[in-house]
Amino acid sequence: MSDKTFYRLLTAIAVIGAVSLLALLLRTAVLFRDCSILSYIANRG
Amino acid sequence: MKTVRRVVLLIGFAALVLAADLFFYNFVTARYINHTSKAMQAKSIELDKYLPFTENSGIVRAETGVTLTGDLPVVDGAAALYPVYSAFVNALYPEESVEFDGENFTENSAMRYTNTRGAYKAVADGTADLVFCVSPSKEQLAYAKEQGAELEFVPIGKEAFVFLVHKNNPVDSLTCDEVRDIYAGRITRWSQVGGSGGYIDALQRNEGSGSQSAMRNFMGDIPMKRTLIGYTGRPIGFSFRYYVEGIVENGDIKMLALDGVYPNRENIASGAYPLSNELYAVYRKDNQNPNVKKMVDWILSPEGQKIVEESGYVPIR
Repeated sequence: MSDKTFYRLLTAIAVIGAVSLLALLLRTAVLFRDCSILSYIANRG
Repeated sequence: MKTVRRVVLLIGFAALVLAADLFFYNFVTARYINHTSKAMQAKSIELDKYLPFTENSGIVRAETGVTLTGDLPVVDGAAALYPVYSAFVNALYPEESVEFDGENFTENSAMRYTNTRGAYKAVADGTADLVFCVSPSKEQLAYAKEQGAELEFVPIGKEAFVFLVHKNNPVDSLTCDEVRDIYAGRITRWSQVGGSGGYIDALQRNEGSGSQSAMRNFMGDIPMKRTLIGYTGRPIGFSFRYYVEGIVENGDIKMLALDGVYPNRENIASGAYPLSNELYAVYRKDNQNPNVKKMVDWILSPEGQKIVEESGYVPIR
């Protein structure tokens, strides 16, 4: 595996990781706005 | 050999990224997923389930010889009281006085729903004649005073203010002092009150909601804290009994006994349960609409009190 390919793959994984985490953060913010105290307790166990 | 090392490194890095996402989802995102419907999330209650003059409505229906005519009081109220004031409207108002557009009540409707915060504002502003709520917050009273509104609070029923945990939490009962110590941050772990599961996550509601105001009354001058470490543990929250049992009906949560007394209707009626709150019909003392007093008198009559009782609350008389 060439250096170029290795670093491209490494960058791609890092970007996918960052984007997916950002998406999760946004999704969480939307859920946080609407979540009721009762649902929160039911989810936490 | 170098290629093998790099492939292993890439797979390891990808696994690390995936693990971070999964951890975040399970530890943070998953706890906010709301299992009620979209309508419920937005409004605290599904309005169309308890509409007046609707065949499949969940409200109590009562025969009465009283019908309001002329200047109909505009009524509004809290989510926990929506089914009962909808039943009052159903019994007393002509059908054409209520307009519902499928999402909410229209501006021309004599029945509205804006929940506790909106209802107290509306009665103070004079855009609603009669609202059905629990006790107001200090801010809501101050706002009414600013508007020059002196409010009359007429108790029409009683309801328990309850504390909630997950059904798997081994704790079934707390004392009032323990609850105050939990919310003051003096008790931080479930093991201190006979339970397990690490730290206590003491949840609160938004300011101005009926249950948050009731919680502030319960705490008195003691300030409430929610610790960051509590986020790792099991939660405790609060609400009103009928909202939990009669409206939301979430099978994964349970109500706690307080000072050894469970919040059922018998214990609320007898006064054995220590945290019974009065439910009020609230109107401006300077309201000139004669139908306001007529409606309140009817709610306090045996016919009105029967609706309160059959709707699942504890009547005042």
